[in-house]
Amino acid sequence: MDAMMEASFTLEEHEGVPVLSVTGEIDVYAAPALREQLVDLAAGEPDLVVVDLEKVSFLDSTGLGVLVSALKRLRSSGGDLALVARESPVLRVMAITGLTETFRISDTVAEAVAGRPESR
Amino acid sequence: MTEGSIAAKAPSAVLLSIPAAPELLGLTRVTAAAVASRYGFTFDDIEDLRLAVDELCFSLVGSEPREGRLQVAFAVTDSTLVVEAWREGVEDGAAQQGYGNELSEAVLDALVDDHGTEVGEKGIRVWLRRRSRSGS
Repeated sequence: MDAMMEASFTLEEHEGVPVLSVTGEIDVYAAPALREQLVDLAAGEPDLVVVDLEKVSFLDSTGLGVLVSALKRLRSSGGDLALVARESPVLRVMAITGLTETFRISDTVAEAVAGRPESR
Repeated sequence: MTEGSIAAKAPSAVLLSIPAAPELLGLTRVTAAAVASRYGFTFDDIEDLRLAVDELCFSLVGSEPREGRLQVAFAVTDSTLVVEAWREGVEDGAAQQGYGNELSEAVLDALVDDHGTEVGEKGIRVWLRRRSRSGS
């Protein structure tokens, strides 16, 4: 187990959809960096942003708060946020806070991108 | 003896003392995992405890470095891990401030058997109790 794995971010596009892949632990220290990435992405008012959390080994309430804020921001401009989290610890914290119904969560990036809303 | 003083006074307690800074909260998770593993808690228990201890300590530090040091005591009694945390080395009143939020509270509620906050002359003490789900 990597005891204190700092978060890192990789931004790519899949079929025109921005996909932010996150690696490491998202806690109160790393959450601002995630917020900055998502605010930058939301500024372009995309139809969909995918956040791949498969390589996230830890997510706390501050990380959850960032994701919820990003979801609200994107939806307010007609977009959406989809998460990729098949077996990561992310699902556990999503479930106990009741947020699994709030987010669209897919097993793979391809599935998340395929579920994009119709273009505006 | 209050719930919150159990961990700090237990003979076998593990005490962690770190600057009250967000970037160091990972050390509380590592320590929680190490103590829980040492006492036979399951993998799922340990994952829950890493998150619960993170939320507990977050409630004392918040998102910015704070004055003083964060003290965290871990003790296991009868298959139950008790964790207690407080800040030391702060001016009177400064340690009365808590930084927890609704989401953090919801996570703690879901993960531990019991948790609480005690406010005394020296500031806030927060604590949690979590019994091993392995039944050992």
